[in-house]
Amino acid sequence: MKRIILCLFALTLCFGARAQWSVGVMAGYDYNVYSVAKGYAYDYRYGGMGGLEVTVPVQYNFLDWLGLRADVSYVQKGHTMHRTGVYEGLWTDTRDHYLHVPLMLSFSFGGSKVRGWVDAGGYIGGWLSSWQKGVASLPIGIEPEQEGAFKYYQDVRGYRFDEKVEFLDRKDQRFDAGLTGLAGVGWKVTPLVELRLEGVCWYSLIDTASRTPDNVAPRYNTTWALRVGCAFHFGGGK
Amino acid sequence: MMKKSIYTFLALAALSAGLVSCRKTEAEILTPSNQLDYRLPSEQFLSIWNSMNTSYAMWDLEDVDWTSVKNEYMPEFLALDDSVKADYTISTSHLQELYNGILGGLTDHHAYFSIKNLWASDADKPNVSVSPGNIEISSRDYYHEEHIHSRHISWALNYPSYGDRIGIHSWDDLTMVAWLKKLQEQGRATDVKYGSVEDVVTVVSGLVDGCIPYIHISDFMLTQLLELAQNDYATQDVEDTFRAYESFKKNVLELDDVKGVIIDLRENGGGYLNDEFYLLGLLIDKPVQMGWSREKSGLGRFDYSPWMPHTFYPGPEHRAVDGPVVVVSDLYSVSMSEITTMLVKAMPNGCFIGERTFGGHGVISGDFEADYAGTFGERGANHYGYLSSRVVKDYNGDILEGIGVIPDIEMSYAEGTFKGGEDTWLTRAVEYIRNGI
Repeated sequence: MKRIILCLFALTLCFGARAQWSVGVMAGYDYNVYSVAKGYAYDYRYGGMGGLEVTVPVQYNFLDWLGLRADVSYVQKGHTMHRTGVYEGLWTDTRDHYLHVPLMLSFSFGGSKVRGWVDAGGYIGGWLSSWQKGVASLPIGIEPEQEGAFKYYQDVRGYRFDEKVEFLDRKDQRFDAGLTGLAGVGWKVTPLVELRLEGVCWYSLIDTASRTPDNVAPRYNTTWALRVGCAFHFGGGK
Repeated sequence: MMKKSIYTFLALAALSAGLVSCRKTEAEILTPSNQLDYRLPSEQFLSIWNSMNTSYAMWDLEDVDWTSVKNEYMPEFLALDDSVKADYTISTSHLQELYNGILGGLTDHHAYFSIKNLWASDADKPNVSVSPGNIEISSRDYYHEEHIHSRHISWALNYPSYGDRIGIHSWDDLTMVAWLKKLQEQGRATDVKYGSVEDVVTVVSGLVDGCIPYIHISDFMLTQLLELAQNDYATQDVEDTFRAYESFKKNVLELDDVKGVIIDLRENGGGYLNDEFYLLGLLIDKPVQMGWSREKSGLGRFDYSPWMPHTFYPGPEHRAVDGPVVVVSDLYSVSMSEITTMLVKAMPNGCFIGERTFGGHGVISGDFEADYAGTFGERGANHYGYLSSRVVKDYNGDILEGIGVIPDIEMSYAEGTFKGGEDTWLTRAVEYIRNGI
């Protein structure tokens, strides 16, 4: 372990003359794609959900084309579900809040004013909280059952809810991890300040219900984001 | 520089491409109704295990880990496979013992399993049956056999040998009929009516002291009774039973002075939620929340809907009854009779007299595709599992599944009297309405 730390330190010294730190803040829109095994629940329809993403990127450039980047990102994920057929009218929208800490290698190219980059790596994170709203089916409505009662879901047998979801230890996997990659372009308006535009993908490898033994319905999030922001550069080099 | 960075990036991307396949793919799951064909005991076990894994609505209430159950019992069933392959039979008692261990301790007190022993000898019983609720109640210190038998009156009258078995040979052998008739002799009861539609419902009603409407129903099948009664070809039994219900309804709705109401649900086996409109719905003029319920919502073991209020509403005909509404329930009051008992307890003027009930409060859905949960298999097929698809908790937020509803005034079967026109439980109900204690 000591040797690794010494090597890293030596590398830093080697690249010191050309090394540069940057810290930024970025925010943007994300869209979460929800992949879930629904088996024989044929009438369930799942869809993605848009949200907000805020990131604080910290980067250390060893060379003008190679750097190491770590962020702290707040990522809103989520998904929609609605039923079809005779159960049309029942739906649930789920909003999840995550914190991600990615670690990526950053490969950049271009000039001193305008540069592009592609970053790739992995991330770990945590599922902070969850909120659901929608319409569920009550066991009994406000009138005696009549023919065609299913059409009453929203008016008579529909229960509208909008509430925080309590995590269930036996089901919810609150640890998240996966692969991440992004592409971006920056414009240095001054030697220290750079405006940035990035597109990023968070590809989770964790089944969010993986604490359930023999889970027959694994579910994963893949989140795409487009963000803008700025970064402040410190140290020497380009 | 640009080339170097791009090549390095592509190399890393190629390396990480392998990680993308780390996501679990969808397991091939058959619907429970498509898992009824098998040849070996281990296949039967796995089929039932898989159906329970996706369909059972109360896994979060169980201490047992269902995966551990599979790991523990699979070797035993594989050993049975070897016996079958060697042309040996399997004794039904051994299979019963195994399934008692696997299913007998479940919380869902509606649960009932019927499993064919496909490898039994000709002389052996062909079926295994497991009822977790019946297993559990037999261990209670106040356990007793059924004694009301109102739901069996039609059978008893039509088949005397059956009547011999349960000690019922006439209507007067039903405790509530004898009680009402005795009060009638004393000038304290009028409008005594009763009827039974075989395999549907038995209704007994009367008016006590001119101001206390009384009704006993054996099952919550009033919806079906009302439909039958509207039929031009309704039988005498249907008309008698309907008249008994209508008499109660008339007394509730039209009497100037209703001091209180007694609803006798002893040994009531439950039935339709919809019946609430025609029983308790007569007695309220605004919605009453009995508690909360939630259903399975997805194939995952712990996929549930949010908890939602379980509210009952006034019926098409109703009045507000200000006096006490007393429900009399017992160990064998189950399902809708327990829901009704909980509803009465949630009413400001409600009171439950009796003993702790069966503990089967889950709601049974008649449609598997409503929430892809609950009952699986088919009656008479290789296996059948009758299950709730919805869990209920009372107004205080307590889940009483497997426990039962606790009475406000506890009565003892062992110390009670139910013969010769004496029915101490009903007498206590009248006393409560009269004196408030």
